[in-house]
Amino acid sequence: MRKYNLILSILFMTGLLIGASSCEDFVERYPRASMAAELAMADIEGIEATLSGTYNRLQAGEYNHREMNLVGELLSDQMEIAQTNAGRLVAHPTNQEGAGFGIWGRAYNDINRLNSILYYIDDVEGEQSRIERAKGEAHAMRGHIYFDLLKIYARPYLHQAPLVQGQPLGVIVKTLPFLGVDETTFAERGTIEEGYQLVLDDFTTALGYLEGNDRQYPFYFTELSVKALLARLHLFMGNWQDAIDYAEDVIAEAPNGLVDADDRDSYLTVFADAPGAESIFELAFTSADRPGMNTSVAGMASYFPEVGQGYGDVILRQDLVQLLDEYGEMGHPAAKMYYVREKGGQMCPFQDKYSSYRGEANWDDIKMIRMPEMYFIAAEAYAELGLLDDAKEKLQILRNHRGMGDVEIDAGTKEDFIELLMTDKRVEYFSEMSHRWFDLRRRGMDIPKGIPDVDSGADDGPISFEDYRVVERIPVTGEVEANENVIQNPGY
Amino acid sequence: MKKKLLISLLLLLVINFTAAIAQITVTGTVTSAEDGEPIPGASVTVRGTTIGTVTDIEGSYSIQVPSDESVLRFSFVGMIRKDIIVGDQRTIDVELESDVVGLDEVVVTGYGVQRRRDLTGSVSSVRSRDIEGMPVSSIERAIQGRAAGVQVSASDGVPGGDVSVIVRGMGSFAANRPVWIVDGVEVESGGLSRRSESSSVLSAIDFNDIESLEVLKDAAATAIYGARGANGVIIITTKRGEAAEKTDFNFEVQRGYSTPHRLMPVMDGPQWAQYDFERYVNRYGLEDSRTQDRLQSGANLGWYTLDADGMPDFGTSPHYDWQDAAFRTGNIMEARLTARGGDENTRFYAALSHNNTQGHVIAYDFDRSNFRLNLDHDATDRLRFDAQVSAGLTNQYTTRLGGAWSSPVRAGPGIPPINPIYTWQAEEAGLLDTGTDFRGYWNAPRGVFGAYPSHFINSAELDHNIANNLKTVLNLGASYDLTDHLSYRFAFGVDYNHSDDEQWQSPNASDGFAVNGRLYDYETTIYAVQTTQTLNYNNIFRDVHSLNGVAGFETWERTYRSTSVIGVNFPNPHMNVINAAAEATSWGGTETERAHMGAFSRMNYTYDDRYMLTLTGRYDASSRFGARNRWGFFPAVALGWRMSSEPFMAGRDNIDNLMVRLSYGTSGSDAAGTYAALGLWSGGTQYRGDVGIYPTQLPNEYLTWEQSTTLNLSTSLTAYRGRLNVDLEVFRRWQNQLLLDRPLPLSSGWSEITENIGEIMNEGLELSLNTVNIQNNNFRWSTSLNFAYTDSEILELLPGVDWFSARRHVGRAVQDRYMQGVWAGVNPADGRPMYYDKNNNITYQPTFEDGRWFGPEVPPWYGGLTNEFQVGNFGASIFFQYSGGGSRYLSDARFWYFGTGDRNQFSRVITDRWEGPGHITATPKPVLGNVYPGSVRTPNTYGTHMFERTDYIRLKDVTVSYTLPISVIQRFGMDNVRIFARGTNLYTWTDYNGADPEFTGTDFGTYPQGTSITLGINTSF
Repeated sequence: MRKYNLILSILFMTGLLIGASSCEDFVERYPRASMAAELAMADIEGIEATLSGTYNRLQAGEYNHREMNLVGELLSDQMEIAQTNAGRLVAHPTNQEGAGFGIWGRAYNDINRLNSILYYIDDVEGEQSRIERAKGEAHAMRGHIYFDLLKIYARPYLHQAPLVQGQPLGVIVKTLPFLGVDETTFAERGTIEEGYQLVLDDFTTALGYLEGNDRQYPFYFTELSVKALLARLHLFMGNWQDAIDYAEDVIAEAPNGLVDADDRDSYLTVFADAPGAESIFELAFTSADRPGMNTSVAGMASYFPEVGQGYGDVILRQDLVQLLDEYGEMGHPAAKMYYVREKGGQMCPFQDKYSSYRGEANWDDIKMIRMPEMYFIAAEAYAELGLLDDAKEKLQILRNHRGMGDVEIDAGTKEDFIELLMTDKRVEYFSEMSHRWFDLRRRGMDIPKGIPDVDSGADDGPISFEDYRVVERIPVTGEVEANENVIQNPGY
Repeated sequence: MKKKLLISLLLLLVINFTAAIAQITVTGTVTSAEDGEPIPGASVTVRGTTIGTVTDIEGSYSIQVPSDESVLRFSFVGMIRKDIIVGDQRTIDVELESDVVGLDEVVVTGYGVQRRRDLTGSVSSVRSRDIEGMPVSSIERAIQGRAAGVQVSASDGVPGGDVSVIVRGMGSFAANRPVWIVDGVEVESGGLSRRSESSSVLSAIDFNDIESLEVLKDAAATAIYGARGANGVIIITTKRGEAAEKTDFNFEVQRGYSTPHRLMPVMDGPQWAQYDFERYVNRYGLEDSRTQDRLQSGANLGWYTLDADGMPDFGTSPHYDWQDAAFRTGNIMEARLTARGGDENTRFYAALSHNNTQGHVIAYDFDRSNFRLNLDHDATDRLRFDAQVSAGLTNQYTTRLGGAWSSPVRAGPGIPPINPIYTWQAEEAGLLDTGTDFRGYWNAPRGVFGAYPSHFINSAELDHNIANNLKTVLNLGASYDLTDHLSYRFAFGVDYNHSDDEQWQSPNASDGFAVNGRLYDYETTIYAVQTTQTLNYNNIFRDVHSLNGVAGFETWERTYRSTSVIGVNFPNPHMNVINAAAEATSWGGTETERAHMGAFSRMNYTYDDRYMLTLTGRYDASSRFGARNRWGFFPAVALGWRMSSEPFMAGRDNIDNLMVRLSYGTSGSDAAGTYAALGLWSGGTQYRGDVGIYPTQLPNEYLTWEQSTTLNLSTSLTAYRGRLNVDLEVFRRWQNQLLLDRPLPLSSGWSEITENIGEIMNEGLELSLNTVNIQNNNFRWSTSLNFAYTDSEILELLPGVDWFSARRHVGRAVQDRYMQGVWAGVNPADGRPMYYDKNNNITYQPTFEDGRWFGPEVPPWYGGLTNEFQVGNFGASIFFQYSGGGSRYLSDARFWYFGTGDRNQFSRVITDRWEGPGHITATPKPVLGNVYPGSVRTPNTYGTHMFERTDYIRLKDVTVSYTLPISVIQRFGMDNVRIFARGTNLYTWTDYNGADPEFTGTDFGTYPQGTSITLGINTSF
């Protein structure tokens, strides 16, 4: 009997031991390769790492590399596809349905990360200055991404018609991270006004936090780059005086100004250097960040078959080439920023701004905002306010730096001036950030295509601003099918 | 090394001869327990000596034994042998029992055993003698077709390759793999190696060591495994020692060869040359320059000569048999030695075995060495210890993954047969200046066949891809009888798996050429530690109330670790370890952990041997689940009624046992990702060198197990003294809270979240029939048949959502598939493929709406049939395995059937082609690129003709054996010597055109199963 008791007590103690080591702990396991959100976002280091991870996302080929730099050029009157091609982006030059910018899912994924930062940052431990900077950068980046979404998936702020089912619909506005499936998961689109207001708020808030911040200029969102973005935003919103004020601020405060570029070498410092000589905001690429051929500007739009770099599928349209040559006659170095090579029997003009200047394939920094844009913004806004002389003065300064000091600005009216300005901008910014496409839309203009089709010879003429294809289709799989509250843009 | 092992095994065989002097005479009669009739010709031997005799026509014998301690062994064909210690007996009369499925046989049910006749849950058993010695590489393949309701299909024929095991249908989108338990320890199954083409870690277990294998199927049986039991539980119990006067040795050696069971029915040289010519003509016309260029280049490359009109003469086309060059006759060698014995206090079973399978495809080999020691020790009357120690080491050689033209099984049937294989062939054909020589192998000129600048035989010789696996299962247990009715047991188990993969791409073969040699060096370790404590109770009250039960507590934790390095640029092909690489191009490593724990109990109550009640429950937790739903309770209840014990059945003497059972209960599946419930942020990204992190997984603290609820009704009949056994079961199983990725709108920032949504139902019927058809003194014929039918249906996905993709639709089976392009044959007027639209009209431009659902891809019915014959000392066993009712999309047949590239094709593409207006055939005319004017779909990727029925019957195993007469082997001190010949996968009846109707993997270049013939000898001494 005593033995019996002994065994029983051993048994009891074993059970107790296992029981006491807390059952719950035993089945609570955490990974070493990743960590929980609460843990990741508990300190400023985690917040900053998340910010770095999101900067990394901005670099993606499907976002600010190939997509933002080439797609708008193909959709507008700047670029086309070579006759010999690998079948990529072939539907874009003819603006076929569904051919456009595909940044929706990627943009909202990035926004969700930034929303997480802004959601957790108030409870974070760390230096106040770092916290404020992170807040500022997160707001600036979120505003920037929403601005891109609005420019692509909604009608412009100043020309909101034709409406979407009678409403001026913008994009889905989310400022909180995904915290579980609930009704907010299946959100409706906000109005265009709401969208632009959010971007304005984000930029303004960011400016408050980033005042005096020039962290590693121009590779991050800083006071200057946010001011530049505000100048751009106000131009899009028709707040001409605000646009002028911010543009002038940037011009006055930037450590770098316009370079004197009258030949290829001097102009190349703007594109081939890292950072570029005129960059206000630039995405820095390490060798490891280089996107693939399919998704990089150089991969798609340059052609160096002897070193196996560049597919050379995206080429300049002939009317752009003529324009560049005309400006070249006047001294503008842009005419030196393309080259012609034979590809599959066709003489193809290729852009030379992204040509893998740093040796390894597709290794170029992306120039997000350059100084000339500030002059264009200020000049356009002055003109809109009727201050044509101020406008001309601004544009002339820019021309002076482009070897066109002797060329007089011949524009008697606001309309003439704006037309001239837009042509100057086409030349200055070809193959960069789809400026041409967004400017045409912003001003409610038709898209001048007007190039005869290679096969049929038919000339489609311009695409009306009213055309449904001017506004991008919201992804069907992934959004429209998964979210019954979202209204598709008309025509799709 | 292998040879040394063999020699030692052989030596052991010859060192056991003892002689003895007979001193005592024992006499007696041997009778059959079944009918009391005497058994003539039964053998009576003295264990451990050469003494022996046989019974006469009256069943009588007389034998001289050396001492009182001698053990007499009585054996007869079809009977269970009996050992009796002589002691002071001088007359020993023996009754031998028939060797049929015994009602008193014990069945392992998880944390305990039950007599088969008392079972209330649904359990299929595989007998060890059915699988012993099968020349296959893993346990999963050995049990194929042997157990009702267990569907085993190989994904390929690779020795040591992966096999799919599904118990009672697909109940889940996440995982359908059953849990494997070896001597109480949960073990890893599936592929562990990360570079092997196909692997199964269970191939490291020697299935010859298995005493019994039980498959728990309904919830009454699986509920005790709680959150792991939903997909079935397979329990393996290994052989144990027996107290005996003398240690029993058994030695078996088996040798044979294997050839590919099915070859791809591809074109020969002249057929391919003609096909190539016709597809150009049909695309461009004969006069077109592209056709003429092709014709000329074909002539230049020796595909044919051109006649005076410039037309090809296919009679002059060569034929180079690439498929034959990829295959060879494989070898199978297996040797195993076991020893079994012990005394009253300590017993042991030890086994050592080696298997070498040289594949029937070049560069494929498989090697397995196994060791096992099972020990039992009774320390006191109440305290017992047991230990199971096993190690399995496998070395598997395969070719590289995926590469179409480096893999013999892909390139062999795929390279056009007008292309020389060896340089001497190219020389003979006068083509030496058209391509390049590669160590005696001929590389076709690039541009002619743009796709393959490599030569797979060269790669097979210079490259290697080895997966070395070590699997060790250890289990230590101690049991103590607290009272006569209550005992406590503690067991500690470890399952350790290590895989070390090495893939070498030589600088002298195509894959490693550009980088001057490439080496993949991967290590993977999985180890699991388990503790189990149980209390077992067993008692009978007032003669009629029988109560037994088990209660216990278990913990289990598993760690996965992996590292990998890929190096390039080697100084010399002979220096091929990572240290010799000038550069590492990739490296990685990770570790994950998971755990589960649970308390469980099962109670069986029987009243008067007639009415049975079983209650089972487990309270279980898994680390995979969310904090709010981590624990779950899995209950089950089962009722049994033994009708044969009722008074109204009295007098029906032919019925031994008739039982009806009903069970209902739940079990679960935790097959989610390791940290599926946690919101996770991961690293591995940067901006300007600043480390970056990002969210990779959404949290779901409510995430929980899939829940499987089963209703099972079954009946068992045993009649005619065990000669007829019938088990019939019907079941319905609902699996809900499925672990499924729910699509999210992209604007949420995510594309999906793992949630518990949806429901699948499986229902079916299973039949097992075991009969002894004829049994007399010289002849015995027995039959086992099993049949299972399972129908599966998706009942729900998301509320309001009928389908997720072309594979998941409410109302369809899990593996059904939506196909565009309903095939309507070939238009006799112009030879192009026709399709039906949704109104059954002919169309050439089928749209998505014109599609239909096809399937299921998992055949709903399947089973096996075994007939065994014993005539005197000769025995034969014939085993058929079959499955049907399914059809499979030949997704990869597009490479063989109207392929677009310069690839060899099924010969019917040319032999059955449409030849001109009015020709009625099912095969369209060949056109380059499959471009048929006016058709939007091409026949090689679209069309329901790519669905083929996978019904088949396979003659899986035939064994013929001869047991040497006692009188002969006595002289050598042997107890038993059996010589056998065995054929595996001898013939398959099927209409299926792909690689193998059984395969679950791809049809494109899959290692074929082998037809093997082996000869072997089994000796006991």
